[in-house]
Amino acid sequence: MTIIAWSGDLDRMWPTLILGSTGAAYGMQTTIFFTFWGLFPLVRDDVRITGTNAMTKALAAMNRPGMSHMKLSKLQMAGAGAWMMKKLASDQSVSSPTELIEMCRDLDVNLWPCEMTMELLGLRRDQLIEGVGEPVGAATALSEMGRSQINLFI
Amino acid sequence: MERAMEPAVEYEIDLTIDAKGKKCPMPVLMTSQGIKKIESGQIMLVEATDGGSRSDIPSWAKDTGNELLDASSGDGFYRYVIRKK
Repeated sequence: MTIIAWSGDLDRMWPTLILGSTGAAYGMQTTIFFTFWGLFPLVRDDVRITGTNAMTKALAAMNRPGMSHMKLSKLQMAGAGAWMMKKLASDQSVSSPTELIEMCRDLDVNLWPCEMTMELLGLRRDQLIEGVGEPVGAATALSEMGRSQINLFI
Repeated sequence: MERAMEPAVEYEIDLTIDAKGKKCPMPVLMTSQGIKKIESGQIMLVEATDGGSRSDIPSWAKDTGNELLDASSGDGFYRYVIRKK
């Protein structure tokens, strides 16, 4: 299974990580290819500002990187929505995105960042969380999709 | 659950996975982690409270080729006995 994680929204990345970890648990070779907004959650929570120039730095300032800082695609309500969603999940013992990405690593899900968009958005390898693979290109992602029975773009 | 009683056969359990209180997909993820820790032919007991496990664990066993020896419930949780292929 290959999932293209294009979005950095909490309500897209969460199901991406649920499906990715579950796919690996089912014995499927599983790859998540992180591109565009999907790259920002891979940045370590303690890295506040990424970027290599004024524009990419401003991008990080307006779109805080990190798995713990994702926003909802709707009902975000200046942070209250995401907070409530996480509170509900935690109250019901639903695993957080941070726990799920750890599970993905543990179950050998390939976590591939997209090289071109990393450069475009000014993200460096050393700013990403542990366990993320080498940055790869679109052809590598497509080649993996060609071998996968399930391909998702989330 | 098809039945709510203790397993008719007592199995010798080599590893117990306690996924009680964990929601989908954690019981399946923990089951998958557990199966890697035992040898072929050994038996693992998975305990879970998540209702999703009733369909997920049998389907996981079927898809991964491991044998679901027993599924039961009681004392407020579900029990799955799985033999590693």
